[in-house]
Amino acid sequence: MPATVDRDLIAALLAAVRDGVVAHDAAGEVVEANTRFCQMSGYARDELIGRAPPLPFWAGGETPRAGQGRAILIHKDGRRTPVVVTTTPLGNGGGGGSIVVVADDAERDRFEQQTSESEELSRAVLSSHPAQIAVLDADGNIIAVNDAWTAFARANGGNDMTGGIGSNYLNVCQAATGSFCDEAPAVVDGIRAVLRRERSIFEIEYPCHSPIQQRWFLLTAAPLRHAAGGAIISHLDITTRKQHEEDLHRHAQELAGLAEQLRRSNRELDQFAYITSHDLRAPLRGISNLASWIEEDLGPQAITAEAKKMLALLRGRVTRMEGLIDGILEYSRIGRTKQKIEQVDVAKLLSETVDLLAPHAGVKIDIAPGMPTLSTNRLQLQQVFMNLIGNAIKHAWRADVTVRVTTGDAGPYQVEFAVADDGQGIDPQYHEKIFVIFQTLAARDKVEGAGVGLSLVKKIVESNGGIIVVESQPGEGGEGGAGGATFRFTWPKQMKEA
Amino acid sequence: MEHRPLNMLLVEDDELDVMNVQRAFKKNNISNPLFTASNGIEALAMLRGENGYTAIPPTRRIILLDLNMPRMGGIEFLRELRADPDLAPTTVIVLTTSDEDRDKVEAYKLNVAGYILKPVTLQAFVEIMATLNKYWTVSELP
Repeated sequence: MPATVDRDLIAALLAAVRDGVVAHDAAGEVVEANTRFCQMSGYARDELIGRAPPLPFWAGGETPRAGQGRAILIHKDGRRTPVVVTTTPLGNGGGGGSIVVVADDAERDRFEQQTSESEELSRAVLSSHPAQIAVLDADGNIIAVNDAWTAFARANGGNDMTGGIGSNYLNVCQAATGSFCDEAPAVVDGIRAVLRRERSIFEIEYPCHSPIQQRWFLLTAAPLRHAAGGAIISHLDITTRKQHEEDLHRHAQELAGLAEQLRRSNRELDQFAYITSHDLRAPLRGISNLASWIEEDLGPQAITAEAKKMLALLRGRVTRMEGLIDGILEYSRIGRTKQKIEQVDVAKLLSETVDLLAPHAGVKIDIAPGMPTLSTNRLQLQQVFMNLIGNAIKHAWRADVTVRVTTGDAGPYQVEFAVADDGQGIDPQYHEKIFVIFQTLAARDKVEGAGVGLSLVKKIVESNGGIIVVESQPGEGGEGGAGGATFRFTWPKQMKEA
Repeated sequence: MEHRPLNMLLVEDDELDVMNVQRAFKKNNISNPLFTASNGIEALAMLRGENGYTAIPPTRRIILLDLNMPRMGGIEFLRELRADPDLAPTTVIVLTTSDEDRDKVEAYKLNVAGYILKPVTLQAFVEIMATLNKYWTVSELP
């Protein structure tokens, strides 16, 4: 040791080193050993000085060579530990000895093993992943790819989006033509932004159609966080998902289209009914007028009683036809007019309806308590009650009929109303027929009405998503021996403007 | 009251409706002259006194106008009428079967003096004609 070097400094340096350090002279005898070496070998410093270091190449009598090699450290208690030794000869200036740095080989092995295990794990994960994955360096060069990437590149020899290790992926994208070219500029910009760490992730779905197959991919670029930078690129085949999405979308559109078609044709039908019935009126009125004028012009002397009766019949038929036309007009109006929604106090609406009907003295109309207040189409609801209560009175065949209106809950969205009478009742075989337009059970000259009322009620209730049913048996049970009839219908609690 | 005759022009394509008005006039003993045109073009020619058409005296004119007519309908006729400086002030009352809001709005935008739906019964027709005649007889006209 040159005398100029402070021994204390050397001792401090040796103590600070994590590896074991042992120095020997030309004779191979230890002249110095640091604390770590003492720990590794189990010897005290004094036990080591002046004898050969417990290292096999030494024990084996081989001359230590400069550089690194593996060796075995023999512990004081006989244990043998593999170590890595780095030998630095001191030359003549150092007395012909050398300094040996001893590193715990087992620790290093363990570290190396761990490293290779984690690398193997990463590689396995990467390989098993169905996505095509490539690792880019900071400049966009492909530095690693997984099996799927390689397989895809192989299967699509000339494909635009493939690139092997060593090629620059940004260039590959930029040069892309064909089906990928629309998205290529966006992809290049996106990946570049990720490489510059301007964005944390970039994702794009793009079509990549081969001549035999329509395919879609999801490209994801995520930055590598370590100092060297770079990014991970993955392409995931999302064709199946995309096809399902497209199928769903197409079906939804088809359904919406059909619903719109249905609405349109219903509207057209209503419009058609309105126009034709409106146009039928003018000639009808003409017929009625002409009949009157013939009678007038002939005068009471010239006309025979027979002719007079025929003219009266003619006018009667005209009146009936006018009734039918009015019925169609009213029926078609339900679909033609817009919904006007307002707050409706049903109890108040019912009492107004009864006033409008102006029933004769014997009729008793009983409105149950607890009628709701609804946000609804007032005119339509009134029309329903008007027809049902009106029918109950008209078809009762008794002057003292009692009509009872009740209400109840019918789930979260609807309320139920019931209009019950104690009239003659309706035979079950007619329960469906009564809701069909222009079907009336009574002879026309006995009860006025064109048979529109209940069909109108049904159309209104059903167009608002409700249902209407009738419960009745003729001539049994009810008060006074009559069966009575109950019409139940549901009505939305809340209506939206159409 | 001095007798101030109205010169009524009925623009109507339906012969039955023309008869209807004529009979209503007769029933009400209305002696005003009633001119008839079967569409807008004919009506304009008569109002302007063009060759070959019955000229309508230029004073105290009242037009009863149907809307749905061939060749030139009522609304179109009204537009022509209001665009003609000589005819623009003429009093027009619509007499139609059209209950459409669109027609009513259009007609009133073109300054009609009334919009009457053709009544269903003969008696109502007679009454309407009597009312119209009485009202316009007492009215000052340009």
